[in-house]
Amino acid sequence: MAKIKVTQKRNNSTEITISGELNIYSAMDVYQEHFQSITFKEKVIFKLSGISEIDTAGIQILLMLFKEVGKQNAQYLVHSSSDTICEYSKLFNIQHYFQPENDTLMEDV
Amino acid sequence: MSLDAALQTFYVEAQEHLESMESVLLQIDEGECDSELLNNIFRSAHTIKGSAGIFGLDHIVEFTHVVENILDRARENEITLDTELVNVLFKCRDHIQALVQCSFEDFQSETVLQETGKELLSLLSPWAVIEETSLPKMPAITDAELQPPTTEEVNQTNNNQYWHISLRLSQDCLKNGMDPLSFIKFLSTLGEIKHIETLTDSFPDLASFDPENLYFAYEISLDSEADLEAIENTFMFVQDDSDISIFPPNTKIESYIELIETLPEDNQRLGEILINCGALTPHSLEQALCKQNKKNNDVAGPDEKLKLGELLSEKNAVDEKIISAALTKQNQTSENTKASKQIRVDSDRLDLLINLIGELVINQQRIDILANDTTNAPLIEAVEDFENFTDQIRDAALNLRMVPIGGIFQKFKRLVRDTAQELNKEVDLIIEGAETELDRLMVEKLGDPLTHIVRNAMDHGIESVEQRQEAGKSAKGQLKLAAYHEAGHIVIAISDNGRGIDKNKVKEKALSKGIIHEESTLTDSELFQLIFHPGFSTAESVTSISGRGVGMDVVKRNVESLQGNIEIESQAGQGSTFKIRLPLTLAIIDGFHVESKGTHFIIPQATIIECIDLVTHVDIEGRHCINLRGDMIPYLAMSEIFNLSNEHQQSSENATHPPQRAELVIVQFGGNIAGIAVDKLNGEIQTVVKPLGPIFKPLKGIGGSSLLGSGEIAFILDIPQLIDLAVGSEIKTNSNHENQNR
Repeated sequence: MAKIKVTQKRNNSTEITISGELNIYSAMDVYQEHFQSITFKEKVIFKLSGISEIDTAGIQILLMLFKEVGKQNAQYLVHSSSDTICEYSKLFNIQHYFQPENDTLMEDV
Repeated sequence: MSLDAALQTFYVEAQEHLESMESVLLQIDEGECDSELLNNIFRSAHTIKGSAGIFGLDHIVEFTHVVENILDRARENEITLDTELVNVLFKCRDHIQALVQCSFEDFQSETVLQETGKELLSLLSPWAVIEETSLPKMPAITDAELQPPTTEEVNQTNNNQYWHISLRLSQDCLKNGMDPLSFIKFLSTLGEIKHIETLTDSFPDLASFDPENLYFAYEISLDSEADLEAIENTFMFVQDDSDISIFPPNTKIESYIELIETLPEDNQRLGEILINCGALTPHSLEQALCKQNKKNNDVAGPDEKLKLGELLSEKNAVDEKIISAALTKQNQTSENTKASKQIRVDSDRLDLLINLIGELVINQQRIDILANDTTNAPLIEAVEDFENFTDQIRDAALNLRMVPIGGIFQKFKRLVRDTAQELNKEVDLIIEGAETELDRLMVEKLGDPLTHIVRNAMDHGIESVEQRQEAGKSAKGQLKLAAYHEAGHIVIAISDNGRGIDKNKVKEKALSKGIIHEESTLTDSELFQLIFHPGFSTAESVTSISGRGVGMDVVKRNVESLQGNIEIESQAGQGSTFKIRLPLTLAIIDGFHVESKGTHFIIPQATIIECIDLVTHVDIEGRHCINLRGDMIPYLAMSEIFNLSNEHQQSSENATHPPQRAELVIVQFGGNIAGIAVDKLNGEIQTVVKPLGPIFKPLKGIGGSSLLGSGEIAFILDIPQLIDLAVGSEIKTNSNHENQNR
């Protein structure tokens, strides 16, 4: 089961920490409980290093969030990824989603 | 279909393919080797690999992939399947079977299995092609270096040499347990994925996002030697609701243009993606689009635009590979139609049906009794009709469980081949009566005893080539498996033309083991039966195949647990025959209802020869023996065997004048005949056999019980055991008499 922590920080950023197994079995719960009506601050930091297992359903949730960040005119940064995400994104050629959007954002973290 | 159910189907199908692989290998081993056989075995390996890949059973995929490649090479006549390779392939087939039986997780801890796999792969290596992926990459365009082409030419050749796969998988894919991850992983076993584009265009708004739906779409460029069918099979489990387009290398550009048109994504973006994948070059895309515009203007005028697809259908854009794939698909469909005449039924359901019919039979008998009491003629007639149909239903239901014995006989082909090789002997296996049908339960339980007897016959029975030649026999030994009906039973005979059983050796061994006494006089058949004694083995050396002295007693026990018996005939120097006699079914039998001292017994009808009046016959010398038309028949009185007293009697009339052994039922089992003395014959009855509990196991002579229509219990007599008892006790009294006479 995935563990999700969403923190709205005072420095105008949202920090999302996900750990555990983010897969088809937990996708529905994770989405409904945490992300269905999420609002982001200007900067969104994703901390994903704790994800031990991910499948296509899990990746879809992350990409959905990345897209939503854009729609809400915010910027996102993947602060830390995990091996399983790297492996998946390499296989499907979607690494670019998990790379820092801009360096200034990185400096703030 | 849930994932578990799909996985179950995979296991069943894999087993079928493995069986087919074995039978093809056996045929090839016997010298038949044509392209159809090679195609068959290749397809089996290929399907196992394909399905395993879909379930992420990578351990199966990895190993089977190598085997498949070798079979493919044989199919293409690049290598020949010689005996050495066939031997290795047999082992590989067994290894795949072991892999199929082992889950991926278990495999990680199964070091023995992993070692075997590695060993087999190294054995296969002389025939295997070293795959590109396992080698450091060679420079790709050596030819190009010799004759430098223009940039566009390089693009053209490079662009068209890969497969292009466009995947718009069903939205329910994830819910159904199919993760695109497994498809992509599997595709990479078919070749190298040169490029993949994961499209996220169909992602909805966050609020209407369903995390269990699949929104990704994929465009894949694959460098592979595989054929269209192989690539198509990757998506076998999802193809129904998905849009999957697969383009072979060198597909015409127009086909891609059509694809772009039919796909939901933005055309320009798709064009770019296909360029990224290498399927198109910017130039060729532009050219095709120009052509399209031109044609539209020429033919239909600017208002009525022709779709690119229609434009394409005028051209001969269909690749030869696609036609051949379509043909294969058609052939497969016709095979499927054949298969659809059969239905797979869970054996538990069949057992339930048989049980219910058992209850129906008992109830029918109750109605029969009640109807007879009424003396209402139309009712009795109706009940008789009912009985007739119950009989037919019973037979039809029992037939459902009957399977031809040929199935297990086929398995022995492999066993005989391997054992012969191991023992360095030459043995021909002859199969007769493979179509003889037997209850499925019995077929399952017969496997082990038969294996044991066959191994024994090959190890101890059939001599080595030199010994056979010395004895003036043909170098090749012969082993025959035969099945036939005999008096309501099925006989399975395993005979060899080897050295036969040495009676003296058996006797010596039995004496040294203390199984018999010095003074015992035994008939040949009794002597042979000693072989089944626990701990008996006459083999001078213990081999891996037989000779440990455990086994033959287990064989006998197994056969007896099926209500059967086993008999040996042997002639020194000529060979031996083991005959296993089994009842046709164990569930419902035609019985003969008799009574002794008020206790009900059922004698299986198939064993009965005749019924006679005992009173008119006189016992020979006061022993339980009568003279029946010149033959001496020993008999057993039920009341004595089971210590029945008059207390059991329910009828007071009988109690005052107890009829003593009035009737004699003559029964036969195998070569032995004996009589069973009872008080009363009640006639034929359909008997639903209920097994006795384990507490009654030591009780000799009773095989089960049954409920009568009247609600009373009847015991089903175990005729083979009773005959043994009658014959045995007759021999004992006979020898006592002889001793007294001396």
